[in-house]
Amino acid sequence: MYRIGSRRLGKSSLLPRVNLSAQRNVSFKLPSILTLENAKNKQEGFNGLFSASTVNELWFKRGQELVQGLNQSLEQSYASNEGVSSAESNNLQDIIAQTIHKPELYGIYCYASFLYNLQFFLESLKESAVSKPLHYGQPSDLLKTPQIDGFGNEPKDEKLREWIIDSFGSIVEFRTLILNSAKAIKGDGLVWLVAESNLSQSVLKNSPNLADPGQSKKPIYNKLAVVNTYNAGVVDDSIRSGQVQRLKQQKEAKIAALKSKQAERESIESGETVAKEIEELQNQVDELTLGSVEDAEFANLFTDKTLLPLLAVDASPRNYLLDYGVFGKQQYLDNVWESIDWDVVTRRLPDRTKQFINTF
Amino acid sequence: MKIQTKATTVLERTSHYLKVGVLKQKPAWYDVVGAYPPHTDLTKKAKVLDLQAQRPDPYTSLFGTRNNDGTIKTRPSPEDRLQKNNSISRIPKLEFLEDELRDVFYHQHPWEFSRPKTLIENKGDEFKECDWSHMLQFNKPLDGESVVQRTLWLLAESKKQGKPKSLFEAYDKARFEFYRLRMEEEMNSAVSKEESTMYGAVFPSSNVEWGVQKEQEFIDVWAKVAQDKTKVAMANRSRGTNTAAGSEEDKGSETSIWENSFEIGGEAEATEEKK
Repeated sequence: MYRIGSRRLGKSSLLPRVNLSAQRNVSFKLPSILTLENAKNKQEGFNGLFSASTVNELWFKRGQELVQGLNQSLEQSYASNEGVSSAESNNLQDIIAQTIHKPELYGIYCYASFLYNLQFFLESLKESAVSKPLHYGQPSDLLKTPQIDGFGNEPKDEKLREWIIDSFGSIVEFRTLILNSAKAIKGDGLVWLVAESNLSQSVLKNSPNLADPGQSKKPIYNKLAVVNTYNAGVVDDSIRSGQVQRLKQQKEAKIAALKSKQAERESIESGETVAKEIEELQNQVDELTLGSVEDAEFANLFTDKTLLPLLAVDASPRNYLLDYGVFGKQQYLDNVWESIDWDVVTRRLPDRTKQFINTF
Repeated sequence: MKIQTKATTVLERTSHYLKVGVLKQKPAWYDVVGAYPPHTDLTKKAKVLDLQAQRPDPYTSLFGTRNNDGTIKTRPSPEDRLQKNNSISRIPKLEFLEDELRDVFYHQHPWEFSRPKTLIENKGDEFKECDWSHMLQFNKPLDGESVVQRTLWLLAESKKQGKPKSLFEAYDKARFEFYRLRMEEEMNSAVSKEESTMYGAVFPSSNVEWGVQKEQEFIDVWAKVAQDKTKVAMANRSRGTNTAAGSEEDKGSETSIWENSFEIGGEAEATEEKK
């Protein structure tokens, strides 16, 4: 789970914990983000990134809609007495964790994660010191070669810098990677800078040298990574972990069940049909082939690992269409880089371990 | 072309025809022209020929000379006929800076060759549509040629602005722009695939996988052949060691089946000859 509650983000807290067991009907309010409140009332808007009207659209209007939608669907789920248990649902991350595997609560999950992502993105921005007019994109901007160097706003914090350079090679490479990933997203989506735990959740759970069998070991982080999420996706893989793996487990369970069935029947009859069925299922797993590309990707993905989000860059069209136009995505992303508040990112950093453990 | 003089000899010809009997009657103009023949020769002749001022052809001077043995040279020897000044007829080698840059680029980035490329042009003037003030082009994919053209543009532009760049600097700048754009391209395709997977796309088999499958069909056939040939080779080898016990030549023949599978026939004969 994320460990960035209200304690860590001092000035701009995540959603307040409302005691739902006491008052079920009023649950969430649009949190206040100071920089955005300022930008809304200023003439020049969010300096160097958004105009005032865009800030209004992005956060105050859309945020409000998301909050309302979330509240409504929560109420409905309380009324129907299924789904989210009210005792736990006082925090966005809890709601996301509870609803992600339940298709019937898809609406709640979407609202919650959209709201969480949006807030996370906007909270890690700061206005740039010099005001410069926003450049509305022209078709010729599509052919522009992006800047290789000549950018500002590098992270100052020594610890963060060192961590980034260890993980990505250099600040330039990191910037190129994160902005390229953002630019490549066609629909709605965000790019995240995350701290990747060096052991997978299942390994942590099953590790023999745990003091208390009931407690799971705390993950330790030694690498940063860049991850994309699309639409209402969430970054933490320990929540959505192993959708593919679960399918495989189901298949194995089915084979095992059929085998036991066959063993039962063999005493009674020949059990030909069941044997056939098992054969068919096992034939699907061909021992001779090396495995598909998907298998390989699966083995190397962040599956089952705790990913702690540090920074989000929203690449959805709604963010740049208003101020930068259809052709302005690159410009928008360059400006986002200039507006990243590295202090916030530094505050979100977990403790780093430099101990090397083979990632599996 | 032969000089046409027929028009001036018309009187001469006609009288000849009359005498022979080809013409029965005198033409009406015959007497008049006979009385007043044309006093200027209207045939056109080359000026030099006319003036006899042209220098004699050196070629003809070869002939008519008396040799030491008393013979007279009447025609050119093979040596005379030899082309002495080859460079006139040789097609000159075309040398372009672009070619050198291409050579450098593709030596440094050999895998760029593996990218498919269209060589067909409809009109041959497609290059005119490109504007190399930027690397990316609307009507041309990004490749090594982009680097070459961009380098030349950068060179020319820097000269125009009075701060001339060296070829090396211009090439490096173009190269790094190329890298940056390639990275973007690759990230684009990776993210596109991930994004569409997340939205439910299924990719049953990739082009590469299809290629591997097709290859496998041939490998399967070959594997059977190789098995048989290996058996034969092993049998032959064991026979060879039995007869020439401990001969050192056998060590050299211990190459893998992959190397010598198609020469096993020849080798088997060779071992038989040894015996």
